[in-house]
Amino acid sequence: MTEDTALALFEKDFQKFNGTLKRWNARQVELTVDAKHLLDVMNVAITDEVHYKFLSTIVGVDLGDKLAVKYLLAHKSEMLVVTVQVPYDGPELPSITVVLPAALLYEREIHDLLGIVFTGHPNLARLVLPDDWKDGVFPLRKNCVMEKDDAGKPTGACLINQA
Amino acid sequence: MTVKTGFLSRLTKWARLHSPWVLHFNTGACNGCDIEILDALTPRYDIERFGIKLKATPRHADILLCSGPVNNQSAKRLRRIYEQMPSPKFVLAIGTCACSGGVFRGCYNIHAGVDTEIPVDAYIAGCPVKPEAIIDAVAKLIAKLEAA
Amino acid sequence: MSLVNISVGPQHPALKEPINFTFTLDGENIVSADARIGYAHRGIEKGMERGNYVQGMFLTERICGICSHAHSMAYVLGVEKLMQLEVPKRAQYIRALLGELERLHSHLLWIGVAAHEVGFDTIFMYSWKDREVVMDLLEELSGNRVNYAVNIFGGVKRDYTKEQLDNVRAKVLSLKSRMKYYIDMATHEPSFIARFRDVGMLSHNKAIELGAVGPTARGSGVPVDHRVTDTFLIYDELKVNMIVEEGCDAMARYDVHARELLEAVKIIEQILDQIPEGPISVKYPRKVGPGESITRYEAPRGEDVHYLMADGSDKPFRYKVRAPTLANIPAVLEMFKNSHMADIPVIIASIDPCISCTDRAVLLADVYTGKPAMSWKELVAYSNRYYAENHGIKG
Repeated sequence: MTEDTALALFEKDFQKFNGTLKRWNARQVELTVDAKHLLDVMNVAITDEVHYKFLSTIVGVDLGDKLAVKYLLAHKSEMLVVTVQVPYDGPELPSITVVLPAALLYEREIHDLLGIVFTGHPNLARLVLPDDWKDGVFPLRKNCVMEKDDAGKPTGACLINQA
Repeated sequence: MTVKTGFLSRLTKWARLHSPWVLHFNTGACNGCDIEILDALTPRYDIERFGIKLKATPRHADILLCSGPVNNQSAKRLRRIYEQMPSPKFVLAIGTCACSGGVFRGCYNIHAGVDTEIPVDAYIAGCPVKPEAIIDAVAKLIAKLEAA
Repeated sequence: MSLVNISVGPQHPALKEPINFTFTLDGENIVSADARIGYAHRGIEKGMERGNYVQGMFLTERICGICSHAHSMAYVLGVEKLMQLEVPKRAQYIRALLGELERLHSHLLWIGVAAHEVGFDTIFMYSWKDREVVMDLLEELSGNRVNYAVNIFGGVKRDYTKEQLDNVRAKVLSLKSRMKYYIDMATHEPSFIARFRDVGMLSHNKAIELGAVGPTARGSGVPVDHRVTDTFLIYDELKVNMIVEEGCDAMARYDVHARELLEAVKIIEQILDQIPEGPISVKYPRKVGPGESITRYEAPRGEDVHYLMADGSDKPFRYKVRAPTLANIPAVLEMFKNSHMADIPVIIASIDPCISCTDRAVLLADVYTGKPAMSWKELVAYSNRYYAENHGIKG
């Protein structure tokens, strides 16, 4: 399956999702869609015609005013990046583990580090952060700064910078 | 360490000097130093010829080899392992990260070195340390014990 | 019989890596397993946003102490993509050479660890002895046994003479017979076969579904190897065979590793045959972007994915690393199901997990006179003074 035919299928299908396609380079394409279409997009992406069955990873980014989640789907050397954006307060996304079980750990990691809740995930327990980490502090958010003790040395914890 | 002169204590000191058993714990390292510790046990360096043996449980170990900047999650484990070791016990901080936090100093979740959690007897700098350095450190530690 | 939960790790006799598994057992059989990582979580992704791009290079090298070149390659390739640099051919060959040498040492290491886990310590010692040959080469080429620091944006830092490259060829070829011995061992040694065959089954479909990568996926018949399917560095100018085994068990994964050793030797020979003369680096800009780039690099353990979002400044806006072992953890949890408890170490080792300066040992008391200990602060001050006086470096 060459990328062009897969993409042609995409373009046909994604008209109804109001997605925007952006070509990064010859082999990497980004598709931005609304969060409510995420599962539909994934269901199309893993079909045998389109064949983006391998989930490379999920990247969560703090854009400053909102959070973005990028799903990196791959087929051989080609990559499709599905981007969705969620608001800063109460970020919630449907879990794609029902479609792609490979997302199990990636979603847990993003839940830890950026505080996005994936509804429908079987077990959103803590994965990378320590057990006694303060709730509601998400280290990869931009407003999160390192806590320092009186001597100015980092204590290993994070604080939310209110300013 | 208090110096005893009884036969049994002289025997244990002799045994400890001639065959210190070491325990390795990764406190959040990148694996570079851990592999070099294992390397010191394999034929090229063969630290076992000095009676130094890698043990898997803290209850049998005399020397704790720590590699890596301590992070919040492993700090509790590190303390627990240290408490489980029988006295007298010694700690080697292996690698720049274990000494001071290294490149990871100032990252969230990092405690900047093993000595923030438990007392350290010797520091070995290097990223990663070479197996020769580990052997050298253990030899110096034994010399210190002998003098004590 | 009621189900029993046991916890294994992060410090455990059969586990060299700081990871914690919780197993649910029915008698001796594993019903389900869960993993808890984070014992080596250092916050590197946030740390990357702290320093500039050149500082980031040192941090990416220290993501992993076994495949450090792979991580720094993925970082450098990703940044170069946004800098739009044309890297000289000779530099690319040198990068690939170090990458393949690293694969050699990593796979030899793995064969040793796998043999150790089945109680065959002779092979452990043999393969680590052979590994020292590769480590010596790496030290000679880069100055350090691990964390080679040869990459720089736009090229490499070190150039090599013909004698050095000939030495690489001679040493690597001398390992060939040893590698054949390891392959032979896997096919003929009954105790090996008994511990590896049909252990840790991961079916072809499950491997795809759970997103397994590298030798773990290739051992289940999934053809993924970015050196073949993707084009990066100069791998499209080389003939690289993908090693795929259909066995789906730990034996197949051992076979993949052992045969890839021979393949890596072939690749190194080609690199040494074809390496062109020329410059080794070009100038690079200080600021990057704005833009995004994704790099996929075939590390010894599988696909390494690095994502970079640059905002036009001299610091990364967001950097994300996905190491191959994280991708393989769902697969290893699947392998545990219906396995025997005694096979836990073999199964963990079978995915080749990797959860994670020069020789000076300093003791804080004079060993001969027993003088009072030097404090850490004094030690730092001493080393700063030493370097300022002897090497003119200000600490």
